[in-house]
Amino acid sequence: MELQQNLAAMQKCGIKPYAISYDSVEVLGAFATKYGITYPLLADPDSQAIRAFGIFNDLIPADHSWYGVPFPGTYMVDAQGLVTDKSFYANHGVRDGVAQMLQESFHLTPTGRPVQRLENADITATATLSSGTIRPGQVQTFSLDIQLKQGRHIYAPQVTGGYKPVELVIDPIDDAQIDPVVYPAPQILSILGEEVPVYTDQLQLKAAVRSHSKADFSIAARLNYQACDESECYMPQQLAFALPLTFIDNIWQ
Amino acid sequence: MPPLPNGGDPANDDFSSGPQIGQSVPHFTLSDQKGQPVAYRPDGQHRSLILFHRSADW
Repeated sequence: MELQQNLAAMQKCGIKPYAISYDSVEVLGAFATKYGITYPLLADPDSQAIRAFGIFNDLIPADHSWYGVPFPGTYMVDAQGLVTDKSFYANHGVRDGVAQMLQESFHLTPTGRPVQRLENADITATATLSSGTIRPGQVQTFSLDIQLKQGRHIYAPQVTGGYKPVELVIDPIDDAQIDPVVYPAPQILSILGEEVPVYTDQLQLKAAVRSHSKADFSIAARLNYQACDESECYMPQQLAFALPLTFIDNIWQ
Repeated sequence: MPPLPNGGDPANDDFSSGPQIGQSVPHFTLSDQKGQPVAYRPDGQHRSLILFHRSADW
């Protein structure tokens, strides 16, 4: 799975993975061999650890072969054993991508993720995805890091009065849900006695993408903005990005 | 195998997801895919990513 892809980076940062299921050692052994998994797949056939964590799925009847499975999810744990972040969804088909969690929780840059960098006279904009792969139900993050050139500012979405605000538009994708773009809090700049919400220096825009697609797809986005400095405003600009995601059917691979 | 209501999933977000942020996680010792014991204990040096999956088999 994505964990295997990111294993070296995790080890370098001192993060140890433990993947637990109710499967037997034999099942996990065959699985690890088939998919080349080297990190620990741990067998909890009596659901001891699953119960100790309090995530035993008590909706499954005792005579069902799934009896013993956990509510699936992930904990990020610090070196003292305290949970720093966690990810559980009621629908077992929905999961945060491991690469996304590594990025969000441990600030670890996952390997192999798509990056596109564009630069013009106003800004340098770097679009990234939290992973280059997506499984059905996974959530990945599209991020756009914007570095403004010295002295220039762009207008925040809250702006009124004829200024052109920055806008990130992500094209709709079949079988995927795109959450609204999250904009950071603006700074307030005093322009000709008027208080104007702007961004200077750098900012990050991001949006979560939840896919149910069963094929590769790209995330296409356009950044619209107008940059100004203290003496003049420049032509409105549009930058277009497209980042590819490779579909992978197997959540463990 | 008879189908389970809602595929065995909780109907809403009101289900037990174990230790909350800021709480400690239980220690455990389980066998890995080679049958070797692997113990989890906080060691003051390594952070951990602990994942629970339904099954590798289905």
